[in-house]
Amino acid sequence: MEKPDKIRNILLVGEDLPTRFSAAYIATLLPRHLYNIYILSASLTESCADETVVIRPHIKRMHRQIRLQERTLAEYASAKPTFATTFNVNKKEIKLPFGDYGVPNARAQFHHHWLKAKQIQTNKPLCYYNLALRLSEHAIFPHVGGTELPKTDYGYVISKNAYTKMLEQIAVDAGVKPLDCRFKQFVYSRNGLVKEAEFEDQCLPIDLCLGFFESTDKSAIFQRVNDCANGFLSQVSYSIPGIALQQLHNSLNRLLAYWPDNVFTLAEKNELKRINDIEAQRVADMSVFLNHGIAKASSSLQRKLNAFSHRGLIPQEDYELFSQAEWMAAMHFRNIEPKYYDRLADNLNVKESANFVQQVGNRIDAFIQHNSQTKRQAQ
Amino acid sequence: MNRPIKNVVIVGGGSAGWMTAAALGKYLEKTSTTITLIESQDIGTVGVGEATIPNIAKFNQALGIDEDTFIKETSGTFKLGIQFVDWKEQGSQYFHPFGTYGFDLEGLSFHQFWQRQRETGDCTPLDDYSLNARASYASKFIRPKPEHGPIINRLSYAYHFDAARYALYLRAFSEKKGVTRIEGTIKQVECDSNSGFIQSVVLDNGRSISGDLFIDCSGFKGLLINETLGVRFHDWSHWLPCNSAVAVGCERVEPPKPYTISTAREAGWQWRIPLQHRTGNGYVYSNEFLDREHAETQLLSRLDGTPINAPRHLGFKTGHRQSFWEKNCVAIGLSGGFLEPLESTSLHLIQSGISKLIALFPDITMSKVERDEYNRLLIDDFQYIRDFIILHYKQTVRNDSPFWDYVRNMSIPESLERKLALLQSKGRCFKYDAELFDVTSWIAVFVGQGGELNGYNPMADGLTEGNVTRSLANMRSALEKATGAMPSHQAFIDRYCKEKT
Repeated sequence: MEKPDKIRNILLVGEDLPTRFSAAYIATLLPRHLYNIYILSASLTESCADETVVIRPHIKRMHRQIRLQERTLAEYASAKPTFATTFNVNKKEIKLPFGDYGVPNARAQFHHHWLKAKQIQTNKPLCYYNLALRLSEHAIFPHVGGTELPKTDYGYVISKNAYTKMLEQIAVDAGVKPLDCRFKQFVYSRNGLVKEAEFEDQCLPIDLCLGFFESTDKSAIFQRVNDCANGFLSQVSYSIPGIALQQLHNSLNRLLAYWPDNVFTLAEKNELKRINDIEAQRVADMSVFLNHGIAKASSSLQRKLNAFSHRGLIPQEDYELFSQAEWMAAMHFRNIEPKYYDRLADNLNVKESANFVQQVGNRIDAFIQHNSQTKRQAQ
Repeated sequence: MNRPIKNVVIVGGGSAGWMTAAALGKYLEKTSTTITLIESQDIGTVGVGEATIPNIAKFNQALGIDEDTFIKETSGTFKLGIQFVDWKEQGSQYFHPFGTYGFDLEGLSFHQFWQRQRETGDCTPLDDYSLNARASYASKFIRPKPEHGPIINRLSYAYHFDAARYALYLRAFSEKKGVTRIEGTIKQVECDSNSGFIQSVVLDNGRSISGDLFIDCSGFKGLLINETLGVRFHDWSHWLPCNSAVAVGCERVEPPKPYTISTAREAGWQWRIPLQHRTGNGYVYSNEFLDREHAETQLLSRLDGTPINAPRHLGFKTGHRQSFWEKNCVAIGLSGGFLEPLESTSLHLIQSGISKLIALFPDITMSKVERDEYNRLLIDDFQYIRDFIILHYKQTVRNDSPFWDYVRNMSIPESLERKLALLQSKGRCFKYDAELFDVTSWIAVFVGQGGELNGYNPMADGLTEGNVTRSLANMRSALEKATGAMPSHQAFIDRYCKEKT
């Protein structure tokens, strides 16, 4: 196959938020003088009424890279900090926390001591020892630091439309050109590459075309482009709030690492697809588990379920997107409790474990009390 | 209710046995579990892994072992990487450093910019961008500390040490943690007739030692995992055909170098490991291509100094047990599997087996869940390392012997094929989650063995040529300066960790 010239014109297509998110990120990181990056300003897909989107802690790093400040998010996109992803599954609310359950002790994770302490005392529920969940419940957002408190991070809940617009502006500032015209079709060359995007009143030559879609239905338009050596589709899942952007961010990082000079080689495309598919499986595991329990478990999900229900362990799979604490919250939501605790917890005797559990609870209580008071005073 | 293990029995001393005893002794210190190790002075240890990779430091740190004491006690030296001689072709050499090459620029791996410069005719070798390679060739070493600044802090290191002395050191450590050592040879293993679980081992003096969990550290023969439980071996000889080794120590003739030397030979390769009191040497070869006598003669003819002991011959098979954990027996070390010591991974695999056992520590029911997970993780570990070792043989132009013709033309695992295709396509290389060797290692060996990166990530064109040239020159100069500021390896040892005489 004849090699095309070096990439100059890049077209990003897809749904509004993923496209803008990708455009802002790619345009900030790519050398500006080498590429023309285009996005369609009119959506390929129908836009929906404004809704909120969860920004998981992972995405804060990307925000720093594109120089999107927290203050700007709060001011212009009504961003509210959150310590957990909250959503409904079958009309029941679940919170996946952005922080650990308790703190480890004597080389065993907190929940093993909690399980052990149940032998001699009635513990408060495990979620009581998750600072992220407690803060979320009390709607206070203090700075959390220090080794004595459970590790806790935060994300945002944000207006989707405002966030999308903000990302588009960042993309434009980084040199992205929005195309304000009606898309008709892609034109392909004889050697099987996507050559042009045809609009109502113009044709845009394309060297590389990237698609960012949520659903298979909507991405159908991109399937043929994806089969070309100069096209690539990143498909993300909105099954769990916020996870799509994390998947997208990871996928973009890989795309940049495999950035082609003219076309993707088959090995590169296969590898990108292979890893994206593994990550999609990780999301599917969580989604299937929350929605269907153990009925439709994949082998990786089955492994997690077995290991957790037996001894409270959460095996980490390759390209895991959810933290151990999020998986524990999911297990709790599905009423799965470990049968045994980790033997390393026996480095403390049962009384010591019970005291430790109580101490952690007291520390969290004191922290919350102090910060609630501060909040009241501030009001 | 937990039904805790009351007695752990470790069968076999040596590195695997005593590393396991030390770690379990430390981690189960305050529990009611007793740990017993059975070893026989009549049965020699293989003494694998005199050279290590940086992870070993974490193991020692977790046990609370002071580094200088450890080096003194084991006559150790520091290791900054491995020099590979004659691997690509006779007369060639390259260095596989620990640590990284240069500095990443604009979010891209350094090697992308190196390749870009190469395409403009800049022939500066990768080694010039490695602090470890520079320090190695200058025989320098310093233990990095924050006050040394950001360049020296990138120095990553492991150790060379006398494995027999390490085992002795860990023995003393373990005994302090309450581990009981029993001297004896196992004559019989008794299993439960229903479950097939091992119940006890009987020694030559008739003493029976029972346990709930048995750790097989008995070496290649796998007294428990193989001879008792009959777990089959997954053979990788077709990819890694070396199956024999002859080892000999020789007198030291020069100050110890801070790196291992691996020299490709007619039917395998020869190691040279500098210790404080001697140099360890060995020839790893395939007996399909070279007989024992010739291997010994070739080894002895290429020693730096006078041999200090009679050559010892070993036979082995590369691969692993189909399960490392079967019933109530966990195989750690050579009993579980073996990958030739080309990249000094033997002790790492022991360490990995121990840490996973601690993370999945069972109770007396020996749940299938924990066993399956342990086996899955260990098999992943073995496979990732296997691919990296095969790379050294496959990616070569040597055609001077039937052995090299075989390995050059052999088929390779699909996972390695994928990795090679990506490396050949603009040096695309990323570390997978559970992978031991990182981008630096893959690039060092792939390029060193003569592999071509065929282009670079076009994002590297984001910087002007002048910018890249200047940045790379600055890196070289910073690394040169940092190397110049280090003391010699020998001086460092003399000052902080000279062996006890």
